[in-house]
Amino acid sequence: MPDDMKHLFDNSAVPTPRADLADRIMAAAQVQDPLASANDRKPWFQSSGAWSAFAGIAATLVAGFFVMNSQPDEAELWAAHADAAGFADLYAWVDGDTEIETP
Amino acid sequence: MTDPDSDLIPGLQAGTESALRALMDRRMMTVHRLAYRLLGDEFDAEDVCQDTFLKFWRAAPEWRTGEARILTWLCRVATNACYDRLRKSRPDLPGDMSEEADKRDGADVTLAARQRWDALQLAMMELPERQRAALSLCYDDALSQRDAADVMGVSEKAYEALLVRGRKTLKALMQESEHA
Repeated sequence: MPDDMKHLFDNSAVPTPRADLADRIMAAAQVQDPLASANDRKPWFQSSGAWSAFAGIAATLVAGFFVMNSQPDEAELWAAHADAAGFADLYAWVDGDTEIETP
Repeated sequence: MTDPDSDLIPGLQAGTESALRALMDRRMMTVHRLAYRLLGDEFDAEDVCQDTFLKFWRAAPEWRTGEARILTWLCRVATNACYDRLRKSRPDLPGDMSEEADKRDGADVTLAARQRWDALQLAMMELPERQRAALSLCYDDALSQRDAADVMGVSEKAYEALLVRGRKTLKALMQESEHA
């Protein structure tokens, strides 16, 4: 059986790749340098990967700054909550802003 | 471990394009034939071929001589790329169906394309992909059992079992098609 198989495979048509396949691969290889030689050419901080990383970190910091600034102050949140719950006067008294009239 | 392509390694590691061309002259047909047997489409096989050689080109500077043969590496990368393509072309398979034959009518292959294939290729495409790879590595590429097992990432025993099952299924399929 294995010999039959060998014969079968030998006689089975497998198309050959198109003639320009090697040229296409060479063309792609020319724009895609091998890993080590591409890395040897520039110091790490000049590589596009390093710049991408710097840009990412900078973007995160800027976004973080805006997010932090846009957060309402904790005290403001409590004040709003107190107003809504009807305890505004009590909180004002606790904070010492006003005096509550005694009967 | 002796690698018949070891003479090209210094050139490939230095990024010399003539070394890549020489490697393709030697191994392109083998990789293409394997991909064609697995995918059943010559253009997909060319794409896999291109990706495989480019991957090697990029990885060559870090190649560690003596750990593997270049041809084994190429076949392994090509085989995995073919498996990926086969899985992407049938994303609705439940669970691990790698050992199940593709029974769908036509299996996304047009009648015209099917007519171009010979009986063996038709039967090959009915085989589970791992059996297909095992047979192609053995009969098309004439890899040793050890190298073929290495390509497939299995033990020699497991490869032998795949080969036996593949031969048996292929024979049955071909007999079926003869009687049809």
